Amino acid sequence: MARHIQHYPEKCVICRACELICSLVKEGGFVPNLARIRINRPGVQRLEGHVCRQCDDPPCAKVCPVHAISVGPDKRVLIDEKKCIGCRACITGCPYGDMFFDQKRKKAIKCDLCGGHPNCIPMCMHDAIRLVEK
Amino acid sequence: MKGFGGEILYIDLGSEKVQKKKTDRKMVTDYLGGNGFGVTLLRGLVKKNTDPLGPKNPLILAAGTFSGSMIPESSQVGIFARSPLTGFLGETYIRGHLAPEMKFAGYDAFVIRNKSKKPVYLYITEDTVEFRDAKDLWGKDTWETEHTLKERLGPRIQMVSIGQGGENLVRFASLTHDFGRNGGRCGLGTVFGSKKLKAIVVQGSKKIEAAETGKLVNECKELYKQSMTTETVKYREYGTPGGLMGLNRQGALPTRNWQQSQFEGAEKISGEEMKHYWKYQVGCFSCPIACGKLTSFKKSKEEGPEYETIFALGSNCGVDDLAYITKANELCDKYGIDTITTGNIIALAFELGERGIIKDPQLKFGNKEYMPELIRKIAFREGLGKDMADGIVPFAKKYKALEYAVQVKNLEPGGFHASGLPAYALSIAVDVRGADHQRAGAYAIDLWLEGEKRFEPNNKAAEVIMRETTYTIFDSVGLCKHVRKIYPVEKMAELFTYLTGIKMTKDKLCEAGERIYNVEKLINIDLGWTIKDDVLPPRFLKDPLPDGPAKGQRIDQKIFEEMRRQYYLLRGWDEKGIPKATTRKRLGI
Repeated sequence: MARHIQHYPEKCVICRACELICSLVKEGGFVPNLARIRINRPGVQRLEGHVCRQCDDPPCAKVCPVHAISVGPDKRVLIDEKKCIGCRACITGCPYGDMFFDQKRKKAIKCDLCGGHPNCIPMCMHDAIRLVEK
Repeated sequence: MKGFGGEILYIDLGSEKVQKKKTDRKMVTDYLGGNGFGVTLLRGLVKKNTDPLGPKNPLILAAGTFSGSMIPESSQVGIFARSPLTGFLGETYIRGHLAPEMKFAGYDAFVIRNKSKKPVYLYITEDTVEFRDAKDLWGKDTWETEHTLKERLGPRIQMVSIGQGGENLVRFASLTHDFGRNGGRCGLGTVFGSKKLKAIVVQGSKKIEAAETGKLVNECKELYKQSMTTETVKYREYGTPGGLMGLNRQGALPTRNWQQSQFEGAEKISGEEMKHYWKYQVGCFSCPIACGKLTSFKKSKEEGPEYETIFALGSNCGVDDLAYITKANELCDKYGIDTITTGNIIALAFELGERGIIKDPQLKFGNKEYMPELIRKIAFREGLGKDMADGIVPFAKKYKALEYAVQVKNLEPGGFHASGLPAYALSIAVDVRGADHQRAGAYAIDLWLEGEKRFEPNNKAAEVIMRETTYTIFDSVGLCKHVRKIYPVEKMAELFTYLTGIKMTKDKLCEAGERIYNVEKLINIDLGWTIKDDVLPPRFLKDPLPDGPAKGQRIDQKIFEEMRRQYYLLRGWDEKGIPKATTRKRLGI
């Protein structure tokens, strides 16, 4: 994997500040269910962070029928929204559950590291998300 | 105006029909949101003869103005109805993730009318409102209910549910959200149960925008940093239990059914002790403080216990074992019954057992092993639990032991011993909910003072009123009171303006706070309140504290009446506590 955001559940307090700033930057308002990083609490003691791992050989790109997903020169995995037909193959195709779907626009959405300088990382007061090389 | 969900959702559980009304700008400027919305929507819908468990009692949920935005610590939802426990205004607040999600679904409030014929849960998104069969959930505790619904509907739903306590119409049934956040007081869970409403589930993807996004976000980033400084250190380092040792030192920790104000076992149940058992920390939406501490003992894994639970099921029951208190907390949360009321009723039962008034040798202070069984009996209305399930006054009356029941309007006080805290004593007597520590946090007024000034009863009414007004604003914009030190009213006005685009000032906020509180009073008057309900329990009036820094202290009846008189006067009410016509005119109510 290239540089990607790594979530550390043992440090996370699920304040979702990361979701808030992500949705603000990407959508122009506060809408965590359209954030490209998601922190879920499915059980009392279960916490799951989901954010694209920027795979070297991304399964999502392989299953996309219109080749809308590619790996850029800086190794970020990117979706060309003009090509995306909203079929959701990549949602199921991602083995980690880190690809999301915008129901209204019918487009797949994912973390693109905000071009290289993620906005979420400085918002985390608990060092629960870090930019890591791999 | 920006920053709002946009609509109020009216739900009829009988006909399964819904209606939507646009959130009105005047309602926002006059009532702000949250607390303000709840009471203005409730007003006129409940009267003296409204059965709290009947179909005509409405159930209102209202999100705070700031909820859903990045404004830190603004996640609060208020829930309102006529209380089945007190018969007066019932309100409870829950922080976590529910109010924000209501906004993302496009709603600022839900107004729920009538009742369902069969168990049902509501599933509310920005596109749909579904009345779903809750047959397979009825009978499950709140944790199992939330696990099940998250598995069925996805982990990003936000929800609130009742447990067996609410289903069995225990009058102090609570609501559980996100496993560990509870709306406990006044029996709002009971109202859910009376309507056969098992849960409300919300999920949405509507955007909350700000009027001045740049300015708002800059303020929010600064507030996030301030949230991690010394102003919040108690909540970050210890959670709410952090206050226990200080209160004990000051002789303000209720012990053995309020007979004492210091507990010899305090250290064993302190925040410092609890820290040894932390597993991890949980915060609310847009809150980095994470005061929720998940503890793990061999007996239980729980979020909490919080300070109030530790006093109610700990020192006040003579129990000095955190593992048992945590287990009791877990059972209360799962069954869905209020920990403060449950603990106080058990404490009373322990005293009545020791006095021989109830013939049960297991009823004695410190009998921690008996607590889980008593809690279960209450939730299922079995045995002694049947006597306890309607609240502390009916329980005490049954055994002709009302003098030992510590309560106002059938609601027990939060964990600060009022006998040595006159401002707090005044505040809990006049509070619209009953003896409630969250209305004004007035114990702080007394505890800040040195020496004899702490016990001075006069000239504290003005500060009680100021705190009531401030806290009403907090409860309306949806802010958590744990950050009262970093949110002066001027700051709240500034954020209100940046978020909504409505020009708000400190004075307008304070006037709204005063208006909202007066509407609460008017609702109570509609429900049959009189000055006879603003009283203190015999224990505070008659039993001087036996030891500690507040030794000898009690509240004299005549002195109390004078404090109350001062309070009514400063509030612009007549000597019977009724808002004067001039006050109502000034506030437009």
